[in-house]
Amino acid sequence: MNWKTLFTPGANISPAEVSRFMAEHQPGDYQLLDVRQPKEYEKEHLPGALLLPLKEINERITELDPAKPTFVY
Amino acid sequence: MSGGIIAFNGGKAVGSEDFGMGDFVSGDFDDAFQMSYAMEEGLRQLYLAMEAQVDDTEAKALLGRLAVFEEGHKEKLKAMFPTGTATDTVVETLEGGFDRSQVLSYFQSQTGTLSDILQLGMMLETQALDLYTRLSRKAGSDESRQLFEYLAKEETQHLKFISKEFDAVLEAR
Repeated sequence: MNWKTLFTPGANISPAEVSRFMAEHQPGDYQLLDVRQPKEYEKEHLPGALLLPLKEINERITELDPAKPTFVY
Repeated sequence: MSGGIIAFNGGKAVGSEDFGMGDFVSGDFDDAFQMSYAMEEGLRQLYLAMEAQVDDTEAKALLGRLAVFEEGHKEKLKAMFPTGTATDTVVETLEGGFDRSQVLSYFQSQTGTLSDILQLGMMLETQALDLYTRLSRKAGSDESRQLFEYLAKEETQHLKFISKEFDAVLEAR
């Protein structure tokens, strides 16, 4: 366990669980957050993922909807 | 997500964050509707062009079914958004932002099996789901946002339909 994430609501879930969640929900009901670099996103990404590279998260955090389940990769 | 995108086995999209958005620049609902409608028609015509290229009876029948399926999407779109202007204009851009002639030329290099057709269909639907979800975040009006959200939901249904057909082909092997 990573002590830094002990008091945050984030959880580590498997790709199969994400896939299942996506199949059972509508696209607007959740957020997929891609924190990699733009070139990596361009090569491949999960359909509909929002690109928010790690270095930009602080400035652009308001682009996320805090009410929706968010899957980060 | 543990393992990141490499471990993800589901459909993936390609392209930059604004890929395919150029056709929707005006932000106007009617333009967005016309373009989405024309992309459905473009995909229908692609399936018909592919149908003309293949010799296998089963492959022909599948492509014919997929073309009819696209016709159904157009009708549903018109019914959901009756204020939109629906014209059967031929567009080079397909659902998801790919160029029709490029996809057709790619298909010519394939053997044209049922698997080839269904995998291509799944790829196009995944790209379309990606594009409409990205567009829904950038929509200039509530009406356009509702249109893109509806289209993204529809694409997930199309994807499920084609995946089911693909599963049936894999099971029959």
